[in-house]
Amino acid sequence: MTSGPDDASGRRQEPTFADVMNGFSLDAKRPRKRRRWGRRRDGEDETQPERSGPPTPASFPAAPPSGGDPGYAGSGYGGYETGPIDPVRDEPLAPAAPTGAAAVRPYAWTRGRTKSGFDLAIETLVSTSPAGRDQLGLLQMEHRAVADLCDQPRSVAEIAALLTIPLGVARVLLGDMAGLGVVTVHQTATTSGNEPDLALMERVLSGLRRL
Amino acid sequence: MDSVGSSYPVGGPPVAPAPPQMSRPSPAPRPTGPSPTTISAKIVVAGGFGVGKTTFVGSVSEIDPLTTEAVMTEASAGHDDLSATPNKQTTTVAMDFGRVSLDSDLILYLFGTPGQHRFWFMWDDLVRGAIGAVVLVDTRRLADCFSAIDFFEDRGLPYVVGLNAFDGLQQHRISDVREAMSIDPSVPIITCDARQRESTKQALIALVQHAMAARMAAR
Repeated sequence: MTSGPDDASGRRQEPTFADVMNGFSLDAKRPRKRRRWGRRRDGEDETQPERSGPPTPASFPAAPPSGGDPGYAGSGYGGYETGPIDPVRDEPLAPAAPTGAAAVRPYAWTRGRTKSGFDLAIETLVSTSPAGRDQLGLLQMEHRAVADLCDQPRSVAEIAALLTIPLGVARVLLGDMAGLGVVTVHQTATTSGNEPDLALMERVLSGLRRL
Repeated sequence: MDSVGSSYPVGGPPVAPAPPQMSRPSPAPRPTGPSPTTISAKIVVAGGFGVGKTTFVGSVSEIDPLTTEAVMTEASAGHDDLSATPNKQTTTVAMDFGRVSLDSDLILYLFGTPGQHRFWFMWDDLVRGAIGAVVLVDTRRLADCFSAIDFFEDRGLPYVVGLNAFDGLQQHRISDVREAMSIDPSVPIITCDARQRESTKQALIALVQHAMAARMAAR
């Protein structure tokens, strides 16, 4: 936003590092489109030509690969530079992103929520309900991943570990799914109070002895 | 099962199954496969870094100990700076745990505490509802477990102290350790070898017995 038209047009004649990269990773149409953008921005920026001084030519080749956010890059350097930066940021990253559960930022799964409506302890068992099994194909992707896991009862901690998501994310997801009736939340030792009851401890004790 | 498809002409049943919206399941409870009455219980395994918590859990667990992570603080986890770096090790805390099926409808989970003290916030989650804790002690580094013992005493969680026998031998007498650590005489101190399933089992039994006795005494 700060560079003058003369500066920008001079730069366009020799391709930047980003332009070279675009030639490899994108189809041929893309860079041309970006240059049109650049021109449009140049027109807008004619109102403040005196700001075109600071960006020295030497600084440009280094800037595009490191400039992650076009918003920030645009404020520091010439405005036309957002053209080349954009494709570098967007396109080459996409194929490199991991597939599967980790492809999505964990808290994107929860739409930023960190609290669950259900009080789920880390050892609380959850299993897919018959209703959930019926509509397995209709579930959203992350719910489906959980429902597949919970064919047999699994704890909240197990689900988090097996899906490699933080515990907080697993809690929110499971709370949602319990609300939808897709999963059944089982009792824990403390369902009736704050401490496990004696009868349950007795059962644990005899179970351990049988091991 | 040997007559699959025999009652239909080739190409499958002539009548398509009812559309899903028509057979929408009613909210009435239906018989479930795995019984929803399966109950879980939890025991905490604490101790200093490298004292053998994961070995202890692994020796009795029916699964390889799993590791789960929690973001440093639940409140800050929703912010961009954390969600943008999900693999950033400094903001996550690892917690090993194992699972033991004690009965067809009873599963016991063993949770190893995160070793570093800066992860205290996890401990509330860990001890809530736990039967009790096994505090593993390396007698060469007694002080490592003090903070865990203080925490359990503060929360009123029953615990036993397990002297993990490194290299298979105990270097100190139990009475000496009790005195050195000023542990209440009512708290059992046992020796164990975290690598041995039988030894781990006995430690867990001692803990549950102690927890039951403590509960009955409190009545």
